[in-house]
Amino acid sequence: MGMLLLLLVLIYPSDLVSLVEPVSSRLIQNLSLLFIPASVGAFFLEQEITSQLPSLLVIVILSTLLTILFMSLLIKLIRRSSDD
Amino acid sequence: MIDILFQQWEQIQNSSWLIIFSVIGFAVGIFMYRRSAGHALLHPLLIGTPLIAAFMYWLKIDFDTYYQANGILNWLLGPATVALAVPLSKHLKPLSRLLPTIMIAVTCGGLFAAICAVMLGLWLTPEPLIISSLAAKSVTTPIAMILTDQLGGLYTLITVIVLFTGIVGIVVAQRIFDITKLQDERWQGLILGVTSHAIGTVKAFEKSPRCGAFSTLGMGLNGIWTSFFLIPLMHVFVL
Repeated sequence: MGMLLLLLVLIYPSDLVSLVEPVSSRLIQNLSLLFIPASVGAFFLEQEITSQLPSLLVIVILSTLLTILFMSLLIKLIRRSSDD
Repeated sequence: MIDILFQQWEQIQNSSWLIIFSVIGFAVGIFMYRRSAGHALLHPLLIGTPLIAAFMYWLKIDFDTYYQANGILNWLLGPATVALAVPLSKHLKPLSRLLPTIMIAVTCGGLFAAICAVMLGLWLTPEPLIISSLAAKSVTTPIAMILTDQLGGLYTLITVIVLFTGIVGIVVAQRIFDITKLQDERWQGLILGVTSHAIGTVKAFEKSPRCGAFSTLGMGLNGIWTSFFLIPLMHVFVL
């Protein structure tokens, strides 16, 4: 929601972008740091969940692969019909 | 409203020296990643997190203590997501001509990602908790955590699944683009954003600012879109 709001404000022509950009770009460059605490939780999961990890692995790999393939083909299809 | 502010302040106040683990783990991860000239399998998170976990086992620190100690980092996820609107807004104007394609791709792609994950989940695992922790896998971490919470899933599991989805995405994406001959950096970026959220976006920004802008757009729009359809979708499939 906040992202949508900031987007709507910044789309409006003004100097606001140059005001927030130094801070926001620094934050984005180091985004990976913010994912570290939660990711460490992977090593502290319960038994019932860890026993399902192999099938979880398969699900994530397959669905991600299929989605990328689906989107590539979809975009190719759209772009060809609007020939650009 | 005031309650939320107090909760957030408490979350930040809980931060303690244990945060050093995260910073050192991240620094080591970044160092190794740069030394390898940005190899996807040496992502800072993949090097940093096992290192931190190993130290925590060694020093007998439990996860909840560590997680709370990182309050300020967890809190920053919110502002960081909002901050992603900045590069997005800079690139949105020249993109308005491409908006129909972007909208169709994000709408179909986001829906496809969630349905695909849930269907495979129903097929391959008997644990309903896994399926409800899996549905939000293509969405950026802060949004995914809120959605998973609403679906009754596990927040530690969703962060890991989101992370892993992102890594799988950046590892396989280039190969799929080669097979389908999708060479346009803009659409590659969009797909990275929709399927691999922030991890894909970090990768896309390394490619070029334009690729990153499209990735940001894909991630942002998919995050907003998924938070609209995911809960009704889960009611259709699981309940």
